[in-house]
Amino acid sequence: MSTEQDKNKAILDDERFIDDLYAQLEKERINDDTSNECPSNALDNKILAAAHESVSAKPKVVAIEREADKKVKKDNKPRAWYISAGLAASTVLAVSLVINQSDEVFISSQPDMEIMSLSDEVIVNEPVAIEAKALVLPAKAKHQKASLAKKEQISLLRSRQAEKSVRAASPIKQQNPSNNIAGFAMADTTVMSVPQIAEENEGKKFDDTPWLTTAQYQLFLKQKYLWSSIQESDSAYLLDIYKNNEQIVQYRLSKAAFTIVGFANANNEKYPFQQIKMK
Amino acid sequence: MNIANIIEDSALTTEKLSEIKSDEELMLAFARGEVSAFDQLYQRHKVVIYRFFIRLNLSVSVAEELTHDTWLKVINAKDNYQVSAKFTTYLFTVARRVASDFQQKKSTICEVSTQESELQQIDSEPSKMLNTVNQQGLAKALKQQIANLPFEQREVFLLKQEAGFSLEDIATITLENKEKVKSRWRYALKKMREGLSFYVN
Repeated sequence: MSTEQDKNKAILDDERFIDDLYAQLEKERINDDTSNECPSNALDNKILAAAHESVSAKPKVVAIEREADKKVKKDNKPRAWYISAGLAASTVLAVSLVINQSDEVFISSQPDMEIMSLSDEVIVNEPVAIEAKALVLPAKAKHQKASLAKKEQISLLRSRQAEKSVRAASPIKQQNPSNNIAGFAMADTTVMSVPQIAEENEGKKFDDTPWLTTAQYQLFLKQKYLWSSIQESDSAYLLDIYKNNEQIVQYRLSKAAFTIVGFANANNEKYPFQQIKMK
Repeated sequence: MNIANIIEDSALTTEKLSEIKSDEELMLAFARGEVSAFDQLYQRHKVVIYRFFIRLNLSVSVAEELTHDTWLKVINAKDNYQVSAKFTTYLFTVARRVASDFQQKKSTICEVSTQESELQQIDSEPSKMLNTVNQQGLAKALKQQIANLPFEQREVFLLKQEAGFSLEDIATITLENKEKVKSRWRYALKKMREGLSFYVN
């Protein structure tokens, strides 16, 4: 303990001694030229220039960084927006295309099947879609209208060609539908393809309506469509066929080829296709 | 009171305000981009730093080089500067590191050879030493005596006696234990007293 105190005392004495020397030195320095220990002006200028340079360079760097950040932000924001918007748009487009396609398949399947069952002189008859079609989305309806108009033009051209050939060959005969499917189809198409008859029956929906073919019958049976009866004549029924609540097509059902089991004939009553049997 | 006087007064007030700023405030202002703050800071401490290197018994050219390096390090590190201690502590920490690096690189060259040889002669011949020192001024004698100290004791002595740091601050600057610093300080004082005892009236 005493040695520690001695040490401290010795340090204090030494410190006092050095302090006295430095105090003496201060007095001497007034007249001493060697006390001018200062860095040279060149060094001062060099250091200050470096400081100025570092500060003047800094805003540029910051500005560049900010511009770069802005660019990145600019690039990022639209990218993110476009990606999401693009995905949404493509999804909507894909869904609408699928829906549209399925609708077109339903509509176009009927004339295709007719063509398959008919001869070369077959005229494509579009099933008449009734007012319920107006309920379909406007874009879809527009598209369907366009395709219908196009097909009508084709059928008109073909019917004119058919008319010429019929006139040249023989007088027009009204043929009854037969049990033979091909014959039935032929008879149907022959009747429907002659414009004169169509003119005579103008305004009569019954006669304008296409005959239901066996292929169509089998398809509708398979897809479990419903039907309801609108009119009945001696030789046929006029049926509304429901794909769903929005799409209705009309066909004539030949009594010679088909029979309806348990037909109640109630208005607006929908029946399954199982009730219709082929003879 | 005309406009010129008002402007002059306002300029003086601004000058006074800027003078009031502490070293730490000036350094932070410099980090924000105020070059004038650095100018002021440099003017305050340029001599102390330069003298620290000179007192380490380095030649003028080396002292200038190390002074330049020290200030350059301060300038370059301005963005990372945080007020955790006094600015002078920070400044001397940098200066001491620069000196230490230099010491390691050129341990023999950095010492002024002539002075060393002189001091060796003084150590070996005490009678001659008295005569030599008596012929010189106190300042020169002090310089020589400081140069005679080992590097660790020398830096502690300079930091304490010339730069005015406390032993705690020196421990921070030199990254050493306080007791070690105190011991170095004690030995340095003892040697200095022994070498300069004849100067006391």
